[in-house]
Amino acid sequence: MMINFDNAATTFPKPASVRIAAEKAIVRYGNAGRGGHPIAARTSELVYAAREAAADFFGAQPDQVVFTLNCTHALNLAIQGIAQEGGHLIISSLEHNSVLRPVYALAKQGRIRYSIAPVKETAAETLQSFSERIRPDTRAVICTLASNVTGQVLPWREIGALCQKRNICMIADGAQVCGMRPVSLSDGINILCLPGHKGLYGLTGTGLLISDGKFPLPPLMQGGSGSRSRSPEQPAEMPDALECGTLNIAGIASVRAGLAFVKKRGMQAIYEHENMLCRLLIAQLSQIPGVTVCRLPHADYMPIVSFCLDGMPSEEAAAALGKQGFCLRAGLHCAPLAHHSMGTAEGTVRFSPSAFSRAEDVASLGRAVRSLCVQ
Amino acid sequence: MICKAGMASDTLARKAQRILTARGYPCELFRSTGKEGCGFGLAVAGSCERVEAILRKEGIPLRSLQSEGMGG
Repeated sequence: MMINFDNAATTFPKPASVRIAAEKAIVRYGNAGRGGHPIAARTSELVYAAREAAADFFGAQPDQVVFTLNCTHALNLAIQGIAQEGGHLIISSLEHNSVLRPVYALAKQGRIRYSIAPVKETAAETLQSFSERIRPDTRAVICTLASNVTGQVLPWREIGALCQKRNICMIADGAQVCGMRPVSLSDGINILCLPGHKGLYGLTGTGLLISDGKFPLPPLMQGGSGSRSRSPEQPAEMPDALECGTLNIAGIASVRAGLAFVKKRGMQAIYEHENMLCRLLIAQLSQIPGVTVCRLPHADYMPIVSFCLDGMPSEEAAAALGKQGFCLRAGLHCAPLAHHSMGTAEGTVRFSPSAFSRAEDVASLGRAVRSLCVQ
Repeated sequence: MICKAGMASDTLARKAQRILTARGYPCELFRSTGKEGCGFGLAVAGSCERVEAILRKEGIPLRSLQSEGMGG
Protein backbone atom coordinates (compact mmCIF):
# COMPACT_ATOMS: atom_id res chain seq x y z
CA MET A 1 0.00 0.00 0.00
CA MET A 2 1.23 3.51 -0.77
CA ILE A 3 0.29 6.57 1.23
CA ASN A 4 0.82 9.90 -0.46
CA PHE A 5 2.21 12.69 1.68
CA ASP A 6 3.61 14.63 -1.27
CA ASN A 7 0.51 16.70 -2.04
CA ALA A 8 2.55 19.89 -2.30
CA ALA A 9 3.82 18.45 -5.59
CA THR A 10 0.31 17.55 -6.74
CA THR A 11 -2.74 16.41 -4.84
CA PHE A 12 -3.21 12.69 -5.13
CA PRO A 13 -5.66 11.07 -5.12
CA LYS A 14 -8.11 13.43 -6.81
CA PRO A 15 -11.75 13.63 -5.75
CA ALA A 16 -14.12 11.30 -7.59
CA SER A 17 -15.95 14.33 -9.01
CA VAL A 18 -12.74 15.53 -10.66
CA ARG A 19 -12.05 12.15 -12.20
CA ILE A 20 -15.62 11.99 -13.50
CA ALA A 21 -15.41 15.51 -14.94
CA ALA A 22 -12.20 14.65 -16.79
CA GLU A 23 -13.62 11.38 -18.10
CA LYS A 24 -16.78 13.17 -19.24
CA ALA A 25 -14.71 15.82 -20.97
CA ILE A 26 -12.91 13.20 -23.03
CA VAL A 27 -16.15 11.76 -24.38
CA ARG A 28 -18.18 14.95 -24.64
CA TYR A 29 -16.02 17.88 -25.63
CA GLY A 30 -13.93 18.96 -28.61
CA ASN A 31 -12.16 22.26 -29.07
CA ALA A 32 -13.33 25.59 -27.70
CA GLY A 33 -13.78 28.83 -29.61
CA ARG A 34 -12.78 27.28 -32.90
CA GLY A 35 -16.07 26.57 -34.61
CA GLY A 36 -19.75 27.38 -34.56
CA HIS A 37 -21.05 23.80 -34.41
CA PRO A 38 -22.75 22.26 -31.36
CA ILE A 39 -19.67 20.43 -30.03
CA ALA A 40 -17.59 23.62 -30.23
CA ALA A 41 -20.37 25.61 -28.62
CA ARG A 42 -20.76 23.32 -25.62
CA THR A 43 -17.00 23.10 -25.20
CA SER A 44 -16.71 26.90 -25.26
CA GLU A 45 -19.48 27.08 -22.69
CA LEU A 46 -17.61 24.64 -20.44
CA VAL A 47 -14.42 26.68 -20.66
CA TYR A 48 -16.27 29.91 -19.92
CA ALA A 49 -18.04 28.30 -16.96
CA ALA A 50 -14.63 27.28 -15.62
CA ARG A 51 -13.39 30.86 -16.00
CA GLU A 52 -16.46 32.06 -14.11
CA ALA A 53 -15.86 29.57 -11.31
CA ALA A 54 -12.21 30.62 -10.96
CA ALA A 55 -13.12 34.32 -11.18
CA ASP A 56 -15.72 33.93 -8.46
CA PHE A 57 -13.26 32.01 -6.26
CA PHE A 58 -10.49 34.61 -6.52
CA GLY A 59 -12.41 37.87 -6.90
CA ALA A 60 -11.72 38.50 -10.57
CA GLN A 61 -13.48 38.94 -13.89
CA PRO A 62 -13.90 35.80 -16.06
CA ASP A 63 -12.10 37.37 -19.01
CA GLN A 64 -9.09 38.00 -16.82
CA VAL A 65 -8.70 34.26 -16.09
CA VAL A 66 -6.04 32.71 -18.33
CA PHE A 67 -5.61 28.94 -18.44
CA THR A 68 -1.98 27.87 -18.53
CA LEU A 69 -0.03 24.63 -18.53
CA ASN A 70 0.88 24.95 -14.85
CA CYS A 71 1.87 27.55 -12.29
CA THR A 72 5.38 27.83 -13.71
CA HIS A 73 3.94 28.76 -17.11
CA ALA A 74 1.71 31.37 -15.47
CA LEU A 75 4.65 32.82 -13.54
CA ASN A 76 6.79 33.00 -16.66
CA LEU A 77 4.00 34.82 -18.52
CA ALA A 78 3.74 37.29 -15.67
CA ILE A 79 7.43 37.80 -14.94
CA GLN A 80 8.63 37.99 -18.52
CA GLY A 81 5.68 40.17 -19.39
CA ILE A 82 6.21 42.69 -16.62
CA ALA A 83 9.96 42.75 -17.36
CA GLN A 84 9.49 43.80 -20.98
CA GLU A 85 10.21 47.40 -20.05
CA GLY A 86 13.14 46.52 -17.82
CA GLY A 87 13.54 47.92 -14.36
CA HIS A 88 14.01 46.32 -10.98
CA LEU A 89 12.21 43.33 -9.50
CA ILE A 90 12.01 42.12 -5.90
CA ILE A 91 11.59 38.46 -5.00
CA SER A 92 11.61 36.76 -1.61
CA SER A 93 14.29 34.51 -0.17
CA LEU A 94 11.92 31.54 -0.22
CA GLU A 95 11.08 31.52 -3.93
CA HIS A 96 10.71 28.38 -5.99
CA ASN A 97 12.79 28.09 -9.17
CA SER A 98 9.65 28.95 -11.14
CA VAL A 99 10.25 32.52 -9.91
CA LEU A 100 14.02 32.54 -9.40
CA ARG A 101 14.94 31.06 -12.77
CA PRO A 102 13.04 33.44 -15.06
CA VAL A 103 14.19 36.40 -12.94
CA TYR A 104 17.79 35.18 -12.97
CA ALA A 105 17.65 34.61 -16.76
CA LEU A 106 16.31 38.12 -17.35
CA ALA A 107 19.04 39.61 -15.16
CA LYS A 108 21.72 37.58 -16.92
CA GLN A 109 20.46 38.97 -20.24
CA GLY A 110 20.86 42.44 -18.78
CA ARG A 111 17.17 43.20 -19.07
CA ILE A 112 16.39 43.70 -15.37
CA ARG A 113 18.05 43.97 -11.99
CA TYR A 114 16.65 42.21 -8.95
CA SER A 115 16.85 42.10 -5.18
CA ILE A 116 16.07 39.26 -2.81
CA ALA A 117 14.07 40.25 0.26
CA PRO A 118 14.86 37.96 3.21
CA VAL A 119 11.77 36.43 4.76
CA LYS A 120 11.99 36.77 8.53
CA GLU A 121 10.22 35.05 11.37
CA THR A 122 7.59 37.74 11.85
CA ALA A 123 5.33 39.38 9.29
CA ALA A 124 6.43 42.86 10.33
CA GLU A 125 10.10 42.06 9.79
CA THR A 126 9.39 40.45 6.41
CA LEU A 127 7.36 43.46 5.30
CA GLN A 128 10.23 45.76 6.32
CA SER A 129 12.57 43.56 4.30
CA PHE A 130 10.50 44.17 1.16
CA SER A 131 9.92 47.84 1.86
CA GLU A 132 13.59 48.72 2.24
CA ARG A 133 14.40 47.13 -1.11
CA ILE A 134 11.94 49.19 -3.16
CA ARG A 135 13.71 51.62 -5.51
CA PRO A 136 12.43 54.27 -7.90
CA ASP A 137 12.76 51.80 -10.78
CA THR A 138 11.09 48.85 -9.03
CA ARG A 139 8.53 47.43 -11.45
CA ALA A 140 7.23 44.44 -9.56
CA VAL A 141 7.34 42.35 -6.43
CA ILE A 142 7.09 38.66 -7.17
CA CYS A 143 6.58 36.48 -4.15
CA THR A 144 5.22 33.19 -3.06
CA LEU A 145 2.26 33.33 -0.68
CA ALA A 146 3.83 30.44 1.24
CA SER A 147 7.05 28.47 0.92
CA ASN A 148 6.78 25.09 -0.79
CA VAL A 149 9.57 23.85 1.50
CA THR A 150 8.42 24.84 4.96
CA GLY A 151 4.95 26.23 4.36
CA GLN A 152 5.92 29.58 5.94
CA VAL A 153 3.32 32.15 4.99
CA LEU A 154 4.37 35.57 3.78
CA PRO A 155 2.33 38.64 4.78
CA TRP A 156 0.93 38.92 1.29
CA ARG A 157 -1.88 41.36 2.06
CA GLU A 158 0.55 43.77 3.67
CA ILE A 159 2.98 43.34 0.76
CA GLY A 160 0.07 43.95 -1.61
CA ALA A 161 -0.86 47.15 0.20
CA LEU A 162 2.76 48.30 0.05
CA CYS A 163 2.85 47.64 -3.70
CA GLN A 164 -0.44 49.45 -4.28
CA LYS A 165 0.84 52.49 -2.42
CA ARG A 166 3.95 52.58 -4.61
CA ASN A 167 2.18 51.62 -7.88
CA ILE A 168 4.27 48.47 -8.14
CA CYS A 169 2.87 45.32 -9.70
CA MET A 170 2.41 42.45 -7.26
CA ILE A 171 2.75 39.03 -8.81
CA ALA A 172 1.85 36.24 -6.42
CA ASP A 173 2.72 32.55 -6.55
CA GLY A 174 -0.29 30.95 -4.91
CA ALA A 175 0.81 27.34 -5.41
CA GLN A 176 0.80 26.35 -1.74
CA VAL A 177 -2.07 28.49 -0.48
CA CYS A 178 -4.87 28.60 -3.06
CA GLY A 179 -7.65 26.25 -2.13
CA MET A 180 -6.71 26.23 1.54
CA ARG A 181 -6.80 29.86 2.62
CA PRO A 182 -8.88 32.66 1.06
CA VAL A 183 -6.90 34.47 -1.61
CA SER A 184 -8.36 37.31 -3.64
CA LEU A 185 -7.13 39.96 -6.03
CA SER A 186 -8.60 42.42 -3.54
CA ASP A 187 -5.68 41.41 -1.26
CA GLY A 188 -3.59 43.78 -3.36
CA ILE A 189 -2.47 41.11 -5.82
CA ASN A 190 -2.36 42.32 -9.42
CA ILE A 191 -1.47 38.97 -10.98
CA LEU A 192 -2.14 35.67 -9.22
CA CYS A 193 -0.43 32.56 -10.58
CA LEU A 194 -1.45 29.14 -9.38
CA PRO A 195 -1.54 25.49 -10.36
CA GLY A 196 -4.85 23.82 -11.07
CA HIS A 197 -3.51 20.53 -9.74
CA LYS A 198 -2.61 21.22 -6.10
CA GLY A 199 -5.07 22.93 -3.74
CA LEU A 200 -7.71 23.05 -6.47
CA TYR A 201 -7.50 19.26 -6.99
CA GLY A 202 -7.52 19.43 -10.81
CA LEU A 203 -5.37 17.37 -13.15
CA THR A 204 -1.69 17.94 -13.74
CA GLY A 205 -1.11 20.06 -16.84
CA THR A 206 -3.31 22.88 -15.55
CA GLY A 207 -2.57 26.31 -14.20
CA LEU A 208 -4.14 29.74 -14.02
CA LEU A 209 -3.00 33.31 -14.35
CA ILE A 210 -5.59 35.69 -12.94
CA SER A 211 -5.14 39.41 -13.45
CA ASP A 212 -6.87 42.55 -12.28
CA GLY A 213 -6.04 44.16 -15.62
CA LYS A 214 -3.98 46.97 -14.10
CA PHE A 215 -0.68 45.73 -15.58
CA PRO A 216 -1.35 44.34 -19.08
CA LEU A 217 1.05 41.63 -20.15
CA PRO A 218 2.36 41.13 -23.68
CA PRO A 219 2.10 37.59 -25.05
CA LEU A 220 5.04 35.20 -24.80
CA MET A 221 3.60 33.04 -27.55
CA GLN A 222 1.56 33.82 -30.61
CA GLY A 223 -0.80 31.50 -32.42
CA GLY A 224 -4.41 30.65 -33.11
CA SER A 225 -6.98 32.27 -30.87
CA GLY A 226 -10.20 31.42 -32.74
CA SER A 227 -10.92 35.07 -33.46
CA ARG A 228 -9.72 37.92 -35.72
CA SER A 229 -7.86 35.30 -37.68
CA ARG A 230 -7.10 37.57 -40.62
CA SER A 231 -4.76 39.63 -38.47
CA PRO A 232 -1.17 38.39 -38.14
CA GLU A 233 -1.08 39.92 -34.66
CA GLN A 234 -2.07 38.19 -31.45
CA PRO A 235 -5.31 39.75 -30.12
CA ALA A 236 -4.82 42.32 -27.41
CA GLU A 237 -7.94 41.39 -25.44
CA MET A 238 -7.70 39.04 -22.48
CA PRO A 239 -7.66 36.12 -22.19
CA ASP A 240 -6.86 35.56 -25.89
CA ALA A 241 -3.73 37.72 -25.61
CA LEU A 242 -2.13 35.12 -23.34
CA GLU A 243 -3.86 31.97 -24.57
CA CYS A 244 -3.11 30.58 -27.99
CA GLY A 245 -3.53 27.17 -29.42
CA THR A 246 -5.81 24.45 -28.14
CA LEU A 247 -6.56 24.52 -24.43
CA ASN A 248 -6.38 21.52 -22.12
CA ILE A 249 -10.13 20.96 -22.15
CA ALA A 250 -10.18 17.89 -19.90
CA GLY A 251 -7.82 19.69 -17.54
CA ILE A 252 -10.03 22.78 -17.43
CA ALA A 253 -13.07 20.61 -16.77
CA SER A 254 -11.16 19.02 -13.90
CA VAL A 255 -10.23 22.42 -12.44
CA ARG A 256 -13.86 23.49 -12.52
CA ALA A 257 -14.82 20.29 -10.71
CA GLY A 258 -11.96 20.74 -8.27
CA LEU A 259 -13.09 24.28 -7.41
CA ALA A 260 -16.56 22.90 -6.75
CA PHE A 261 -15.05 20.19 -4.53
CA VAL A 262 -13.12 22.73 -2.45
CA LYS A 263 -16.16 24.96 -2.09
CA LYS A 264 -18.35 22.05 -1.05
CA ARG A 265 -15.84 20.53 1.38
CA GLY A 266 -15.01 24.01 2.65
CA MET A 267 -11.61 25.67 2.46
CA GLN A 268 -11.55 26.24 6.20
CA ALA A 269 -12.37 22.57 6.85
CA ILE A 270 -9.64 21.39 4.49
CA TYR A 271 -7.11 23.73 6.04
CA GLU A 272 -7.99 22.74 9.61
CA HIS A 273 -7.84 19.04 8.76
CA GLU A 274 -4.42 19.32 7.16
CA ASN A 275 -3.16 21.59 9.92
CA MET A 276 -4.25 19.04 12.51
CA LEU A 277 -2.29 16.36 10.68
CA CYS A 278 0.80 18.58 10.65
CA ARG A 279 0.50 19.23 14.39
CA LEU A 280 0.14 15.48 14.92
CA LEU A 281 3.30 14.76 12.97
CA ILE A 282 5.27 17.56 14.61
CA ALA A 283 4.27 16.26 18.04
CA GLN A 284 5.64 12.83 17.11
CA LEU A 285 8.80 14.11 15.42
CA SER A 286 9.66 16.38 18.33
CA GLN A 287 9.89 13.27 20.53
CA ILE A 288 12.46 11.58 18.28
CA PRO A 289 16.10 12.34 19.04
CA GLY A 290 18.02 13.36 15.94
CA VAL A 291 15.01 14.81 14.10
CA THR A 292 14.84 18.55 13.46
CA VAL A 293 11.57 20.10 12.38
CA CYS A 294 12.15 23.17 10.22
CA ARG A 295 9.71 25.60 11.80
CA LEU A 296 10.18 28.91 13.58
CA PRO A 297 8.14 29.41 16.74
CA HIS A 298 6.58 32.75 15.77
CA ALA A 299 6.01 32.23 12.05
CA ASP A 300 2.74 31.37 10.33
CA TYR A 301 2.58 28.14 8.31
CA MET A 302 0.50 26.37 5.71
CA PRO A 303 0.10 22.61 6.26
CA ILE A 304 3.60 21.57 5.19
CA VAL A 305 6.31 20.20 7.46
CA SER A 306 9.96 19.91 6.46
CA PHE A 307 12.31 17.95 8.67
CA CYS A 308 15.84 16.58 8.75
CA LEU A 309 17.35 13.44 10.27
CA ASP A 310 20.81 13.67 11.80
CA GLY A 311 23.35 11.71 9.84
CA MET A 312 20.92 10.66 7.13
CA PRO A 313 20.64 12.57 3.85
CA SER A 314 17.08 13.57 3.09
CA GLU A 315 16.89 11.53 -0.13
CA GLU A 316 18.05 8.44 1.74
CA ALA A 317 15.42 9.00 4.43
CA ALA A 318 12.67 9.51 1.85
CA ALA A 319 13.75 6.37 -0.02
CA ALA A 320 13.61 4.35 3.19
CA LEU A 321 10.16 5.74 3.98
CA GLY A 322 9.10 4.97 0.41
CA LYS A 323 10.02 1.33 0.93
CA GLN A 324 7.60 1.32 3.82
CA GLY A 325 4.86 2.79 1.66
CA PHE A 326 5.12 6.46 2.66
CA CYS A 327 5.54 8.84 -0.28
CA LEU A 328 7.34 12.04 0.71
CA ARG A 329 9.54 14.32 -1.33
CA ALA A 330 13.11 15.05 -0.31
CA GLY A 331 15.97 17.24 -1.44
CA LEU A 332 15.82 20.87 -2.44
CA HIS A 333 12.20 20.90 -3.70
CA CYS A 334 13.24 23.12 -6.62
CA ALA A 335 13.74 25.91 -4.08
CA PRO A 336 17.49 26.33 -3.44
CA LEU A 337 16.91 29.89 -2.22
CA ALA A 338 14.71 28.62 0.57
CA HIS A 339 17.24 26.01 1.68
CA HIS A 340 20.02 28.59 1.57
CA SER A 341 17.89 30.82 3.81
CA MET A 342 17.18 27.94 6.18
CA GLY A 343 20.70 26.57 6.27
CA THR A 344 19.55 23.18 4.95
CA ALA A 345 21.94 22.94 2.02
CA GLU A 346 21.45 19.19 1.75
CA GLY A 347 17.70 19.48 1.64
CA THR A 348 14.87 18.24 3.80
CA VAL A 349 12.16 15.61 3.86
CA ARG A 350 8.81 17.28 3.23
CA PHE A 351 5.43 16.15 4.56
CA SER A 352 2.42 17.66 2.81
CA PRO A 353 -1.03 16.17 3.41
CA SER A 354 -4.27 16.67 1.54
CA ALA A 355 -7.98 16.67 2.29
CA PHE A 356 -7.85 12.88 1.96
CA SER A 357 -4.94 12.20 4.32
CA ARG A 358 -5.73 10.32 7.53
CA ALA A 359 -4.54 10.75 11.08
CA GLU A 360 -3.81 7.04 11.48
CA ASP A 361 -1.48 7.15 8.48
CA VAL A 362 0.33 10.16 9.93
CA ALA A 363 0.78 8.24 13.19
CA SER A 364 2.22 5.34 11.21
CA LEU A 365 4.55 7.73 9.42
CA GLY A 366 5.77 9.05 12.74
CA ARG A 367 6.58 5.52 13.86
CA ALA A 368 8.37 4.84 10.58
CA VAL A 369 10.55 7.94 11.03
CA ARG A 370 11.36 6.82 14.55
CA SER A 371 12.40 3.41 13.24
CA LEU A 372 14.83 5.10 10.84
CA CYS A 373 16.44 7.01 13.66
CA VAL A 374 17.06 4.02 15.89
CA GLN A 375 18.86 2.09 13.17
CA MET B 1 -35.95 44.44 -33.02
CA ILE B 2 -32.71 42.53 -33.07
CA CYS B 3 -29.28 44.01 -32.48
CA LYS B 4 -26.32 42.09 -33.82
CA ALA B 5 -23.26 42.92 -31.78
CA GLY B 6 -19.86 41.81 -33.05
CA MET B 7 -17.49 40.87 -30.23
CA ALA B 8 -13.71 40.57 -29.99
CA SER B 9 -13.68 36.97 -28.75
CA ASP B 10 -15.75 34.02 -27.65
CA THR B 11 -14.95 34.82 -24.03
CA LEU B 12 -16.09 38.43 -24.27
CA ALA B 13 -19.21 37.36 -26.18
CA ARG B 14 -20.14 34.96 -23.37
CA LYS B 15 -19.42 37.57 -20.73
CA ALA B 16 -21.64 40.02 -22.61
CA GLN B 17 -24.32 37.35 -22.99
CA ARG B 18 -24.44 36.82 -19.23
CA ILE B 19 -24.68 40.53 -18.58
CA LEU B 20 -27.38 41.22 -21.14
CA THR B 21 -29.45 38.19 -20.15
CA ALA B 22 -29.33 39.25 -16.51
CA ARG B 23 -30.68 42.64 -17.57
CA GLY B 24 -33.62 41.08 -19.39
CA TYR B 25 -32.19 41.02 -22.93
CA PRO B 26 -32.35 37.50 -24.35
CA CYS B 27 -29.45 36.88 -26.70
CA GLU B 28 -27.99 34.16 -28.81
CA LEU B 29 -24.32 33.71 -29.52
CA PHE B 30 -23.25 33.13 -33.10
CA ARG B 31 -20.03 32.74 -34.99
CA SER B 32 -19.28 35.05 -37.84
CA THR B 33 -16.74 35.79 -40.50
CA GLY B 34 -16.04 39.43 -41.11
CA LYS B 35 -13.27 41.59 -42.47
CA GLU B 36 -11.10 40.66 -39.49
CA GLY B 37 -11.67 36.96 -40.06
CA CYS B 38 -13.34 34.68 -37.52
CA GLY B 39 -15.40 36.33 -34.85
CA PHE B 40 -18.24 35.97 -32.44
CA GLY B 41 -21.40 37.94 -32.08
CA LEU B 42 -24.57 38.23 -30.08
CA ALA B 43 -28.03 38.54 -31.56
CA VAL B 44 -29.82 40.54 -28.87
CA ALA B 45 -33.53 41.18 -28.60
CA GLY B 46 -33.23 44.88 -27.99
CA SER B 47 -32.03 48.18 -29.38
CA CYS B 48 -28.41 48.61 -30.33
CA GLU B 49 -28.34 51.88 -28.45
CA ARG B 50 -29.23 50.11 -25.22
CA VAL B 51 -26.90 47.18 -25.89
CA GLU B 52 -23.98 49.51 -26.52
CA ALA B 53 -24.68 51.52 -23.38
CA ILE B 54 -24.83 48.44 -21.17
CA LEU B 55 -21.70 46.83 -22.57
CA ARG B 56 -19.73 50.07 -22.59
CA LYS B 57 -20.51 50.52 -18.91
CA GLU B 58 -19.23 46.99 -18.27
CA GLY B 59 -16.02 47.67 -20.18
CA ILE B 60 -16.73 45.17 -22.95
CA PRO B 61 -15.43 46.36 -26.33
CA LEU B 62 -17.64 45.95 -29.38
CA ARG B 63 -16.41 45.29 -32.90
CA SER B 64 -19.64 46.16 -34.64
CA LEU B 65 -23.31 46.93 -34.12
CA GLN B 66 -26.11 46.37 -36.58
CA SER B 67 -29.85 46.69 -36.09
CA GLU B 68 -32.24 44.35 -37.82
CA GLY B 69 -36.01 44.43 -37.88
CA MET B 70 -38.58 47.20 -37.55
CA GLY B 71 -37.53 50.49 -36.08
CA GLY B 72 -33.85 50.14 -37.20
